[in-house]
Amino acid sequence: MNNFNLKRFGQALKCQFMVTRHSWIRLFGIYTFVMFMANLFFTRLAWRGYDDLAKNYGEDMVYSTYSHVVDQTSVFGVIFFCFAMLFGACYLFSQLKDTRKRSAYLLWPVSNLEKYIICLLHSIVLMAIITIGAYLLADTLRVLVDFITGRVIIWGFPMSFNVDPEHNTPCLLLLFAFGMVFYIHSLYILGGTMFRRQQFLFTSIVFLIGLILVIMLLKQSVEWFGWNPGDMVSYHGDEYHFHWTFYMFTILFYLLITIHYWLSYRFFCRMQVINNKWLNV
Amino acid sequence: MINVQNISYKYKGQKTLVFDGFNLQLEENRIYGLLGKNGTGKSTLLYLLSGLLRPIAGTVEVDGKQSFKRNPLMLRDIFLVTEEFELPNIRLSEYANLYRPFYPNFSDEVLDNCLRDFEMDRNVKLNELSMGQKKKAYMSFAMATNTKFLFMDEPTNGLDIPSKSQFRKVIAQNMTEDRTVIISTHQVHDVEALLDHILILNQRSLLLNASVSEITDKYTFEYRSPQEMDDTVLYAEPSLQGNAVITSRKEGDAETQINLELLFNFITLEK
Repeated sequence: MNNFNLKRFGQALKCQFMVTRHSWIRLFGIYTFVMFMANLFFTRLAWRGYDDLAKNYGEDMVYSTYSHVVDQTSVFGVIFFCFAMLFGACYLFSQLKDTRKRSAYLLWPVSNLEKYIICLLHSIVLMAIITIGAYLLADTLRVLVDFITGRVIIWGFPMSFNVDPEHNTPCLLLLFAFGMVFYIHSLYILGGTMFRRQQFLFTSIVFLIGLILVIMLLKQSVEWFGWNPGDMVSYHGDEYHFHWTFYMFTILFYLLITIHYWLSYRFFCRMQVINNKWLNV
Repeated sequence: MINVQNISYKYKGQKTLVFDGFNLQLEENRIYGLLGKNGTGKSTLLYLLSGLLRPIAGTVEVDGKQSFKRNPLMLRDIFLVTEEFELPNIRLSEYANLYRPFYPNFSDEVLDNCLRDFEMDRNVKLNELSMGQKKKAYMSFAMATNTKFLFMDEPTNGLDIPSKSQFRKVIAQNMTEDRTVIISTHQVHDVEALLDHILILNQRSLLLNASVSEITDKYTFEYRSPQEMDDTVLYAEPSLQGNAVITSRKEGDAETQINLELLFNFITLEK
């Protein structure tokens, strides 16, 4: 197929990664540094009671208290990961930021679809790998510092995946939650494609304005339609009950995600070497 | 073949059109010189031909394919050497290895020959080169791609004196029968000897679209002393060697070497 050739796509993906690898390595270094500093802040500056605790209490107490402190670093790690993913989504087309880069990328003998998927894979998959890798390395460095300074060894990374084994969340609810997360991400992908400058700032402003409007609308919905958003899911005894509006909103989220990606791709196909000052049109 | 039909184009936020009902046909096996004053749309035309810009009306077809669609089969036949470009932080050898698969006619032999002519080698680190050296490396790669259409925007800007003659040698040696080269430049003396077709742009339209042989058949370019000036002189400019003049060529007159700067001034003044 002219629009997508697997061999060409593979070569292009490898080529783009090799050409941009220095900037990814630099980003990995920056992320590791930021997360390592945050780890040190939470375990050394924000909480200074380790020595007193170790002196006055037993190992179990030290272990459980320090676990709570380390848990803060894992919360920071998760927040940082979300931020990095949104940031990555907004800088989807960072290789198109000026005329020189744009002309080289657009004239590359690779189809628009392949170029678009390459950008997506870099800004989503590679960004996720880099952020998780930086998080792991920062955690390892913090553990190393703890080991050198004689503290107990507690890894923060596994805490990020802690789920309550007692609580069985239904698949539908997870589908809805993922839909919401991917919806926000797709919104930043669209913003990153549309805006030429300050993509993260402008997309965030548009997102916040939209969010405020939706909250206002949902508050009014009780009055106008006699419908309370809280009624979408109810929990009786051990069972969840889903209202038809729940299904509607779940479908709506995934529909909007598809539309956002499609619009973003269309914008990319229509992109020119010299565009509007603020928008990529 | 490139066919530009009735295109109009204006940049976003600007009121005036860069092109309005503009037509052009570019044939194979020719080296076109694209000349024009600043702001007449030389770079815009190259962007439109390569599909980097989309005309607001009309069509630009490269071998029958609309250029703005940026079809990969069309793009592998086009290489645009822009006036300013950015090269990645890698060695030229790695750059060539990574981008070679996208150009089916890529020739290592041509790359090595061009680099030899430019007194460079494949092992250079692209980010450590001066602007002129980067340009030579990039142009060598462009020549090695063996694309059917090669567009160059101010290729001799930033090149030192020996490199300009090396550039001419590189272009002349690697010109093939099915290749079309367009050189957009203000440095007319650098490329004068290379060109076989001249295009002069002026505010939305073509002032001149003629082959060098047509021009030299029609005009003679020579130097005359003030005493030799007569009614046959169409245009004259004072110079250190006397007056540089253009006259109508009569039957029996010897063919003269084209003086592009003089021709450009003559044509733009005439209109």
